[in-house]
Amino acid sequence: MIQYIAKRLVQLIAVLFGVTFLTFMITQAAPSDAAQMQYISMGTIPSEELLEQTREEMGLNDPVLVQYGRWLWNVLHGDLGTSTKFSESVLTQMSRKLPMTIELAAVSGVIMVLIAFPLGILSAVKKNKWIDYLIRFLSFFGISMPNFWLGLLLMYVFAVRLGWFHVVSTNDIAGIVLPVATLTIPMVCTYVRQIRAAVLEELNSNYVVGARSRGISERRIIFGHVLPNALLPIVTLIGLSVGHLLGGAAIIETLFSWQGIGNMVVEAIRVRDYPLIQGYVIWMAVIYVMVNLLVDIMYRLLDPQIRLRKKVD
Amino acid sequence: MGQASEEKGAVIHRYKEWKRHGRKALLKPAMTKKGKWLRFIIFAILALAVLFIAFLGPVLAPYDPLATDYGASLSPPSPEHWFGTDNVGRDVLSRILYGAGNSFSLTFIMVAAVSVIGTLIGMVSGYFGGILDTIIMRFTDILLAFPDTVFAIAVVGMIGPGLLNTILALSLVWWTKYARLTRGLASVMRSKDFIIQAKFGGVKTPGILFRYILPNVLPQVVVTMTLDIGGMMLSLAGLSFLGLASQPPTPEWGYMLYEGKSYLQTAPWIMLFAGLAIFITVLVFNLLGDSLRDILDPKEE
Repeated sequence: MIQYIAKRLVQLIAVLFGVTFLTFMITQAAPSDAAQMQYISMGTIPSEELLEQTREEMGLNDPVLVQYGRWLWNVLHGDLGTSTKFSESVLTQMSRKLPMTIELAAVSGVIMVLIAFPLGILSAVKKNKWIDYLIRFLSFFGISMPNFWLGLLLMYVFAVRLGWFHVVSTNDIAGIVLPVATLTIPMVCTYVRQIRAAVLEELNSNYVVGARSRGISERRIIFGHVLPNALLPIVTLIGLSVGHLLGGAAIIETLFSWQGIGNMVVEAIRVRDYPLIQGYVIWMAVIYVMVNLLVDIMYRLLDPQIRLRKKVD
Repeated sequence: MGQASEEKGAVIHRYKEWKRHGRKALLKPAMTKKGKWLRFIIFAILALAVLFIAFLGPVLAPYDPLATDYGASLSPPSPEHWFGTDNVGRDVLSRILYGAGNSFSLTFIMVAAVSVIGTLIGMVSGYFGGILDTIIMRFTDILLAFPDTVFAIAVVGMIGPGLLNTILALSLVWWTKYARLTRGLASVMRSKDFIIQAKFGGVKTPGILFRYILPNVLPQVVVTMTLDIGGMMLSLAGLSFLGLASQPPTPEWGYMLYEGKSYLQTAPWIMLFAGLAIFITVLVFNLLGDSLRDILDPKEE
């Protein structure tokens, strides 16, 4: 197990290395470089000579790999540069906005699991009954619904028409309801189908047939045997859902003016605040990769086939 | 004694099972082959109908989608303007019909492009294996380390908003899905008898790739493509909605929603109908993809 974690950590470092390289390289594709942006943010148009001088000072004339090395060194020391728009460090910006995004993602994630699990299991157990058809039918609607449209509809009905919530989200319980609903509904629909498939696969396996033929009650089969086994693929699903939660945040946060990093990056793109965009991408990738590593480790801990093999060894 | 009662319990259980599900359940699979095809044909006709409307959009549209009429701005749905008008008095129905062509052609071109590129790379990677395979797969690992649309947002953010940049950004991420799918299939097939025999029979590498491996990965690729149409349309519309893809005044569904957002209180019909158009289209293609998967990939049964 320790060996496995060590191996995965090495892979993780390699992937994160690639992530930083890719992020740095797409910055190189930007139409204006850091020297130009500095003057633009000051509101002046520099002469070509001055621009060239600044480039030299900032090290922009060095080979790309040298620049990357220098940048990576700074990133590893927690220095992601200075936001051109807010003239404060990217790290300060991020540390203020990130908790908001994590709050939204965590609440949505928990609610998603609490709804998707029972529905998925119910749908599998009652396969081809009316309740299964109803759940599958509704989940198809949810999957096909653009989340930004869902958000607008919820906003129109509950904020504009009924006046239960404010159109612009406030940072309290009432303010988080609509963003969470918008984020959760499509995900519940996706995962209900996958949980159903995972449970069905277990239900069709030989040990269930064996248990049934031995007269073990259906309830004991499902809660005692099928669910613990179906939990494994579902754990992986939860890891993947983090990607949806973080990626979807940009749209949802913009829609509800939620002051998280998704909202921040859309604003940063409008004003071409490159360091801020860089910071966003790297942080998102780091969080996502870390969560998936944790999920994989948990998977190993939960899987009796792997856990028991260790004992035999 | 104990054993006998256990057996008795089993018999009773089987009897209950039989009573619950009936003989029909034991004899008939959940859905017949004919039923699957019927479902597929119904959704295919629906999808064609949507496509038909999309490409006839300019003919069907009652108004010029760009013609402004300030006298009739923000008017609710009426017999003259079925879906109402927007803030400068443009007819929402006409804009949706014109926008359909844009949204569709873009989605199709992108799905076609990423699937062809991804499939080719995946086949080569899986069939040859070795160092090339390792490099390609590690590269996809890195791309997959970015959650969901984050990488696309970053690329658009760096090279600037615009339609072309959005296409580039989404393609950069999306091909990996097809590459990983076909790579997995191709690397399994590499050691199958029919490939080895073909090799001994003197078939050259391109022949093996295109005549032996491609036909075997194609069903899965086609299913994925059909299911991706909805996903791609949602991604494109999502980026437009953030104001990153399409530039006004081109009618495009995602951007119409973005515009409609500002008039949520005074003219909800703008966002209502534009969103409905996306929703119906994605729904139809998701259902089509799902029914196609049931026919081509009968794993679930």
